[in-house]
Amino acid sequence: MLTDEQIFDVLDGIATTEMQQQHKHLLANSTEYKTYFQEIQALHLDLENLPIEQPSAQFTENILAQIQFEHHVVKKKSWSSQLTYIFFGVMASVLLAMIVFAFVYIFSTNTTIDAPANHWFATTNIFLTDTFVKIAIIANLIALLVIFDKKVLNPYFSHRKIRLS
Amino acid sequence: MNDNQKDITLLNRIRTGDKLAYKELINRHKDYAFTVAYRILNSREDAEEIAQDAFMQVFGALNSFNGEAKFTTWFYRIVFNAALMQKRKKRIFAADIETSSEAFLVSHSSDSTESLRKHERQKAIQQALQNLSADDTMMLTLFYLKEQSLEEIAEITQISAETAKVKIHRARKRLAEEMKRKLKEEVRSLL
Repeated sequence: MLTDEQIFDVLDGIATTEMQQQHKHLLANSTEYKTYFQEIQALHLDLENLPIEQPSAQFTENILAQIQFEHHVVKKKSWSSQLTYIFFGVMASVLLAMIVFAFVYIFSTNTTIDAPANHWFATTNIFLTDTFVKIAIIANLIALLVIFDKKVLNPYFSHRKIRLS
Repeated sequence: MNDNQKDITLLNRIRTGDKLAYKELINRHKDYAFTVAYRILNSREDAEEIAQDAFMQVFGALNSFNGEAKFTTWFYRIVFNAALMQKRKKRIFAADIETSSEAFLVSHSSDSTESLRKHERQKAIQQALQNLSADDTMMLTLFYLKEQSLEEIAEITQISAETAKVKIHRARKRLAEEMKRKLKEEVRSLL
């Protein structure tokens, strides 16, 4: 008696000559084997004849439509990915312009400012201490970072997250 | 020009922006992609979604396909992985056997007895396939559907050809057992 694996090899056409001869012999002489072989053969033929399923009629069109959408997304992505560079570019240009302007202004002018003797200035001078200036600078820096996070980093990374998901 | 060469030609045309080539490629493989996904997922909607996603992935990863393997091998691996992931995600269960059998008998009442019997057997096999693991179903589908070689199946499922052969054999055995179990259940319900 051949094993199941050997019977499937016979059906798949990959059995050795010896195996095929044994199969033929068993088929001719053993009713039990013949019945069992026919059972497996029926399954094999059924599997071979399984129908090919067909998707909906709009299958191809749906994909092509999505590809157009993808192009749109890509276009949007390329703009937003440059947002950071645009921001840094503008900031660097402004900084450079200010430095140039400051140098030109310092070397070309000589200005003396006389503070008027006003009691109002005496009140404001209380706040113009070294500590106050440092705190103000830190507060400004934090505000700048918050704005940068909200306007640049957050939109950039949320878009990136959508694209990856 | 053989099938794979045709696919490669189409892929090259797609790379140059030829949309018609992409359409042709989809039409060439959509039925098989859908069938593979459907056999694993047992849901037409999910299978269609997975097959569509697979084609989208092909479009997105055109440059990563170097043409060393057959296009279908690469493509079916995408379909197989996507369907497997979807199956794990959604845990789809097989449809009720009795309902579908009744629906079939109603819709095919005019068929001859022989074609009815054949159709019933096919239906039973499809249902038995749905009760097998996704791995077993995939093995049998690839082996019988497009007559992929053991080497190709091995490449798609990322195992060795020898393991693929053993797996196919085991899957067939499990299918036969599942069919017998179903038959026994039907006989028991008749008695």
